[in-house]
Amino acid sequence: MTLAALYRTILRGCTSRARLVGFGAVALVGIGVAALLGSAGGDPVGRSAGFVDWFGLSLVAPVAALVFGTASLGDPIEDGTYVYLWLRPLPRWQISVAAYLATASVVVPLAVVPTVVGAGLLDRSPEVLVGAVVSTTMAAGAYSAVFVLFGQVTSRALVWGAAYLLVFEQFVARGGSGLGFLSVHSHAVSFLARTVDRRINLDYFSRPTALVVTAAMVAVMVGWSARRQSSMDVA
Amino acid sequence: MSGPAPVAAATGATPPPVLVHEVSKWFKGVVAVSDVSFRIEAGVTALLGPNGAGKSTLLRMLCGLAAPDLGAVRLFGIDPRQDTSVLRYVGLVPQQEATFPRMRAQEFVRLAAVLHRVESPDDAARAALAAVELDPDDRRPVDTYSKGMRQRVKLAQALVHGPSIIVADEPLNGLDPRQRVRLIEIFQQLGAEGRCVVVSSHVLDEVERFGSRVLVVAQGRLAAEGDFRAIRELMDDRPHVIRLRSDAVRALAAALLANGAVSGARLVGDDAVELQIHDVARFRAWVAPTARELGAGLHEVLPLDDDLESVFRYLVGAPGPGGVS
Repeated sequence: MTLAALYRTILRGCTSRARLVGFGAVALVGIGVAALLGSAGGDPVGRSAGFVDWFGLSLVAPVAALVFGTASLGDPIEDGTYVYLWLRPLPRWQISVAAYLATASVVVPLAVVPTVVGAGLLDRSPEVLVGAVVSTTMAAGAYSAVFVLFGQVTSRALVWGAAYLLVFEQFVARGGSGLGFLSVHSHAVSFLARTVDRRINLDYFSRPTALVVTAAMVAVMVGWSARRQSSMDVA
Repeated sequence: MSGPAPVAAATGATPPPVLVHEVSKWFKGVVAVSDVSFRIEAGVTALLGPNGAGKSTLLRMLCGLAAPDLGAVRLFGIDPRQDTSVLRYVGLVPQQEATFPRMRAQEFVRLAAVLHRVESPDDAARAALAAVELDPDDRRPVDTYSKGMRQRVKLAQALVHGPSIIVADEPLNGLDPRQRVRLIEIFQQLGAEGRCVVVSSHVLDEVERFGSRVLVVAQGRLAAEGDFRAIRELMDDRPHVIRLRSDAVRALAAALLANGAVSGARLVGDDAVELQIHDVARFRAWVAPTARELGAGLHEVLPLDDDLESVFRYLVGAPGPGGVS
């Protein structure tokens, strides 16, 4: 019951109308671009996978997770309302789990729905749809965990989070499978590439590896956040 | 809203509700709290100190919101940083005004009840809001309330689970006189019920109205503790500096020095003198009759050091903590 109350409170706090409208607009633009790409010639599966990669895995999932994830704990910490969640006789891991669930439950649909619709406009084969759903869910879920932690442990989490996406995910992680092993994007795109049977940049890993490592990333980030709850000072 | 049985009752021991032992806290090399020790029993205790004295830091450590760098804080003998179960006995009214966006008062207080695992959280929330004279059926979100109403909502969420320890950080800030009186009555009532109520303030007159035990904090240290009246007397007994303006300032100062009403005088210009006074009551009794006898006009009698900062500076320079109690 306390976990559900925490979840509802955090979800309500991080989902402002402006944020939802903004990502709704991004979704419409993405679907519009997919519709335009659909009239082009060439390999429809390859085009569809490419759309999922740049729109779902590189744009909507990370940016939505950045915005909602950093807000989930970062906003209440910043404005001082965190004390109303933290100073209660309950296991503090519940706050981290609730924040993650709240973030993921808004980021996953915001990322997956337009990505799958757009991909479906380009190619409706089962491999493409499964690849789009699973890889975008992986990216949205893992980025959510990363940015919930960012919101908790850093001030100016949006800036640090954007720097992480631009510097690590888009630059450093492209240095090979070693660095790519720590990249959310590499694992999500690997799953997509193996599923649609096309080569995509950064597709270093097998599907089982991608799934297991992504799940492990979520567990580590949420666990780190939970552990940090007990040692942090609250204003 | 009956208070739960203290933890000590189950263990047979009798640790105080609040024990602060040799606590220090610093931020990036700046000492916020330095070697502070005190214990707080049932009743209202006021934490008095100027802005920036370390009151909020002390209260945050007292609740477990911040960890002391040195020393220990115990609530009923339990470290609130290590064992969150003791927080069921704690209700905090934080200083910050923000509440969750778009949330009604009833939802806000109910959330606190749910997180404290109160049975019938709806009923508890309604009762807590009624206790602070707010309408549980008000549909407006709390963030549209006036400051006074928000303070009462914050108090309601702190009381909803019937805590034994109530900590309020500057709860009277921004309230109108009627709201202040009402809130002070509520705190006094909670103290009379046997709860341990800790209220911080930087306003001397507010603390006086709590009529209770006082901890005076200045520059991160405990400057004095004890009954408010004793501290007030100490404050009144200290040397005061008063500026006096008169058209016969030299004669008046000489007369006051001669009859012992002042202990020192320093001329400031042609019509003013700064007087050092040890016995304020005696000075008050003598100044007007003396001026009348001399046929001197009194244009100004202005205390130069009656602000709280001066009082605290004096207390910090006074013998160590506990000297007043």
